[in-house]
Amino acid sequence: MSRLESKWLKVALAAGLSASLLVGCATNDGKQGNGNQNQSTPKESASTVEKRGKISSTIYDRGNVPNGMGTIEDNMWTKWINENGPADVKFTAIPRWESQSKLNVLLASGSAPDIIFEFGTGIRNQLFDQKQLMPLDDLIEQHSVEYKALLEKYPQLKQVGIKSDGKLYEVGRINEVYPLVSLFIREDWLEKLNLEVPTTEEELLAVAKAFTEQDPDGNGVKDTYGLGGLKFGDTPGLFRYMFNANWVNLGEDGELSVGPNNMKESTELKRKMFEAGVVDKDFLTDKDGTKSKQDFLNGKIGIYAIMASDFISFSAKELDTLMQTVPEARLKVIPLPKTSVGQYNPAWNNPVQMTAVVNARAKDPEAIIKYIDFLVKPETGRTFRNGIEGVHYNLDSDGKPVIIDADKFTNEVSWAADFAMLYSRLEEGKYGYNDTQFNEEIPTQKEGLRLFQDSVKTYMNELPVGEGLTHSEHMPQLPKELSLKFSNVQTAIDDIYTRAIIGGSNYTMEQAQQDVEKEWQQGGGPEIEAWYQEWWSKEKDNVLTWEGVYEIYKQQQAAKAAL
Amino acid sequence: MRVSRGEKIFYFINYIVLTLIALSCILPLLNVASLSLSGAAAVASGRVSIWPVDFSFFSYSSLFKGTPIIRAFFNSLQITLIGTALSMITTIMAAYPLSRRQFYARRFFTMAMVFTMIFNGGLIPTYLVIQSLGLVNSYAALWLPALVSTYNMLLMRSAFEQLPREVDEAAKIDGCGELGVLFRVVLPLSKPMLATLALFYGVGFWNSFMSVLIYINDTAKFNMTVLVQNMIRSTSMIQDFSDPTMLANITPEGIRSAAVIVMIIPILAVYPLLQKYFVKGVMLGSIKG
Repeated sequence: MSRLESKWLKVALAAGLSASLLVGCATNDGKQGNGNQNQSTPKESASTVEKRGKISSTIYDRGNVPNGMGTIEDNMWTKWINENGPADVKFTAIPRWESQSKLNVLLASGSAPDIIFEFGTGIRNQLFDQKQLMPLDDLIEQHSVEYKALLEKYPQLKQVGIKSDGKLYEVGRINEVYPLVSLFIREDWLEKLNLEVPTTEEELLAVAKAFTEQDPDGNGVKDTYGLGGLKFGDTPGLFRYMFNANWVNLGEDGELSVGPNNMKESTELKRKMFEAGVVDKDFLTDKDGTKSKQDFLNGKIGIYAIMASDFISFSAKELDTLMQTVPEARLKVIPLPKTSVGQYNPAWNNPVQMTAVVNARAKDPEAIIKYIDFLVKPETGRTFRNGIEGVHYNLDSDGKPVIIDADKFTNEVSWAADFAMLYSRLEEGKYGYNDTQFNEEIPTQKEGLRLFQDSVKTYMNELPVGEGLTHSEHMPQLPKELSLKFSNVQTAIDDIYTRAIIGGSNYTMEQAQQDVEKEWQQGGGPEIEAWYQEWWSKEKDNVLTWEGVYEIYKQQQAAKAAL
Repeated sequence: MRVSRGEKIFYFINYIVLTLIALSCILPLLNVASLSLSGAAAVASGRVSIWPVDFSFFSYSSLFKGTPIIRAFFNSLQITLIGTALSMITTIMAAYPLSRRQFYARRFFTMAMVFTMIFNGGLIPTYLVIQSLGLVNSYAALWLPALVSTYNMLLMRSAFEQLPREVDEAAKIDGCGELGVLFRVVLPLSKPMLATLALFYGVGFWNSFMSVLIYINDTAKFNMTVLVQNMIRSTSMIQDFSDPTMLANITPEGIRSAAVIVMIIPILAVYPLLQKYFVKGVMLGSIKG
């Protein structure tokens, strides 16, 4: 009896406790709002004696710290940071793939670290909306040297880091601009069948048809496809880029056009491809494109678009597999074919990537800025990438870092890259550029480098990028309700177009287009468009568009040529 | 007994359907097992189905060397063994009194517990409670909030209720106190139910994911589920592609498969041992009277 009574008592106590905590939470929030403003004004003057600050920071946990190397929040690199950095840093691990929920509880409970590293633009925006972030303009102005210099060199870092209230909340890094996605064609198949590289959508269809029907792999069986999948995996992006089929596009008049832009045209081509039998008829069941990718790597697909990005991982994985399974395969990077709506480039890498924000409740903002400066220094980032000079790498006569022992490197350095989220590699000079990162003694890497250079030559030019207004990381966040509506209407319209691809005479393109327009009108289209238009009219000058990205590309190449 | 034609057809169809269902469970498992034992190139080009191609232990050796899986394994083991033991003890302690008619207000106490099945605090309030109790970063945060699963407790209560009261009375006449009745009579008679619930709790703790993710900050204390999830989810996340070395951090499919196998083997090993109780145990709870 008494045992049960006391149990009941505990239940009651716990209930009371949680209620009081809820109240506590509310008052905390209130305080935090005030604290926000107080803390944004810098503490005392910088002239007082240098004191070593104590701060805390997040670090992504990817579960890849080798056995025996400690944990991601306590290892040789965290020790190195504490020995060589300007402040004592305590790390909190954030599981990479659940960062949002983890950050939410840490922030709500007041135990979030001072500096938060997060790649996800949506997550950072959410933190800003919740007033969890500290504005950094004055702090950088007063305490920063390195980051301030970087801001001057790349004003875009400021442009992108500014939030809707006009203050700077985010810090980030500059990446090299190169194409993210490349369109490959099997050159050996082209030669075998005596075909030319397709330059228009009609030619693309004709070549794909030839690849499907004329047994290009010469095994006597009709088991090849012209093209990868139409809906899932790597290749669907091709149609999007070819037609600039995006929800938010920038017109030549500088005005936004919001809605299913050019999607009718891209669907028409997909429909023709499907009806001509040049893609796997079962493309709808290949939910993540694995089957299509495997077909490509087994030499059964002739035209394939893939996010090869910097080509380093692509060389080590996909290209390596392809060269092993189909030794005669020779890939060629080709420009996106011209379409009825024009010619475009595939998406490029985001050069201005925001990676960190500062917690509004941070106690020692000055120390945080010093720490940011420390991380921005090229020699710091270099250490997380290459290890310690003389231990993990040596510089050759040219000044190029060469890894001494690959196994030791894998074991001790390969997993430390997340410490380098503020490392702008191009600041290294020549050996910061991607084309110096390949090891040409390895055949797949040599081939990878060739393809990378081709890809840059093919896609880095004045043609517009077929990914709408700008890189997805620079797109604004719709308010929650609209965002839900938008994603619902996107799914609905996507389904209609998918039906149109496989519909045949039962479901014509005209019918589909009517359904799409109806869906867009009823699913909140006008509301969504109005929001984007208003945002554009206000923020126009603060958005880094593809044109701006191209400017950065030119700047980077000029700097490279001057080396 | 002779089997009629109709019954034969029935059994035939039955076997086919059951075989198909069994295959739908076994084949994916075989596939994962084969992936974990195949060569890397064979995995990437999709040549592995249900039998290893280019047999190698490469995935396992890189898994044990290159990731903290061993530590995570022992963490999972610790969470599961201690958690199950604690939960079983408290569940028995709650179910036994509630199953005895002479216990005052047992209906009220039962309802109070059932209440928690329907209503619970959200993620953040619960986190604040755990935090203020100083349990963050301790496995107690996994064990204590889920100490008694109401559903399991109800199952056990009805199992206890089914024992004839006369058995209790006989034991009391022979000199047993309440604890004697529980430990010498009731529990030995309820072995199937105990085994079943231990399995429920065990699997629950072994699979605990969200709670570890939220309450445990120290990655040295992460269990298998969080680690393996991290590896599996590492395959696609577009913003990371802006960064060269991030792509290299993706765990290859073979190693992920090996991790999945290491994670499920202990549970697979426990099932056959408890199975004889298992079927009986679930039945016991379900039929009353």
